Amino acid sequence: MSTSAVARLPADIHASAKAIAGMQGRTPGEVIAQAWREFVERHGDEFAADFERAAALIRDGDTEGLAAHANRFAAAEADAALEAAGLER
Amino acid sequence: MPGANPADCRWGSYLCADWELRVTARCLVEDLGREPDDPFEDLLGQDIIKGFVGKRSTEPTDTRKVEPLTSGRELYTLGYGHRHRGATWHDTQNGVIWLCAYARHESGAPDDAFPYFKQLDAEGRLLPTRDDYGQLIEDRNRRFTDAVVTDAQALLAEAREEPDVEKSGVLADSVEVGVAVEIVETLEETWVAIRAGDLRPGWLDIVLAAFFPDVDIRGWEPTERFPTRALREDELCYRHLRDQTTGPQG
Repeated sequence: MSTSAVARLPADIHASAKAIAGMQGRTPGEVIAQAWREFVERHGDEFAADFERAAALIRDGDTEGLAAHANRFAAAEADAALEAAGLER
Repeated sequence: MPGANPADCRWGSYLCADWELRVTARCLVEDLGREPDDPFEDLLGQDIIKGFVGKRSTEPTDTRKVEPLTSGRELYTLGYGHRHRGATWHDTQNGVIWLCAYARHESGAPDDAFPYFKQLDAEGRLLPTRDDYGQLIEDRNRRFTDAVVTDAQALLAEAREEPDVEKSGVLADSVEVGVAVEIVETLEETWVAIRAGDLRPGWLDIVLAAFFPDVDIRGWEPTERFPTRALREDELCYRHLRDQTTGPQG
C-alpha cells in the first residue's frame, strides 16, 4: 500500500501510520515523514495557509489562538485515539 | 509512596515519566463530586487522588484486578487507606492511566466499591469515552503550544552561538529536532530536522513558524540533506535562508 492513499489530511496520516508501517516493514515515523512530504507537496496552498495562520498567532502572542489552531484536527485525533484504545464510541 | 508534585499537574493530567494520569469525566462528576473540567491540581487534596498519584505514577498495575468485567478489560484496584477504592485502566496505546471509578469500600454493604465498579462496567460506563479522549488531545495540544515557541527560539539561539554544529532538543517535551546554522558572509542558513513520528496532525506548520514567525512559507525550503550528518528515514528537514543585512528572505 502506498502512503499516498492516506496523504489527504494530516489526521489521516497519523491514524493510519502504524498499520501501514506494519504492512511495509517500516517504522510509523518513516511512514509519517513520507506522507508529510507528499501532503505538503500536493496541498501546498493549504499547508501555506496553516503556516501563515500559526505565524500570525505567534507574532501576536495569541497563545489561546495558537492552541485552538493546533486543535483543528482534535476531533479526528480523538476518534483515532479511541479506536487505538480499542474502545467504541 | 511518593507525594504529588503540583508542578507535574497540567490541566487535566498529572505528568509522569512514561505516561500521564487522568480521571474520566464520569468519575470526576459522579464519584468525586467535581466538575468535568476541573484541573488535576485541584484534585490533589482528595484521598483517592493521593493514592492514584502515589501508586500509579511509577507502577501501572497492582496486586488485585477488578474482575470479572463484562468488557473483558484489565482494570486494577487502587486502594488508599482502609476505605478508599478506585479502578484504574492503563491505556498503553495512548499513554494514559485512567482513574475510571472511585467508591468508599464497605465490605458486604450494598454500595461497596467492587459491585459498583462491576455495575458501571456492565452499563458500559466504566471506561473513558470519546469526550475524555477529546479533552486529552486538547490538553496535549495546549501543552505543546504553550512551550514550542520558547523552546524553538532557545534552540535557534544555541545554534547561532556555535555555527556548523548541530544543536538538538525536544520542543515542548514532545518533538525531537536538530538545528544547525551556517554563516556564509552575510547569509545565515538554518537547517531544522524534525522527527516526524513525534508530530501530531496540526503541529508541523507550528514547529516551523515557531523558529521564524516573521517569514512566509516560501522562506522555508524542504530539503533532503542536513549539513552535519545524514538524515534519518523518519526525519523531515527544512532549510531557511536569511540575509542578515536585509532581514528575512521570502
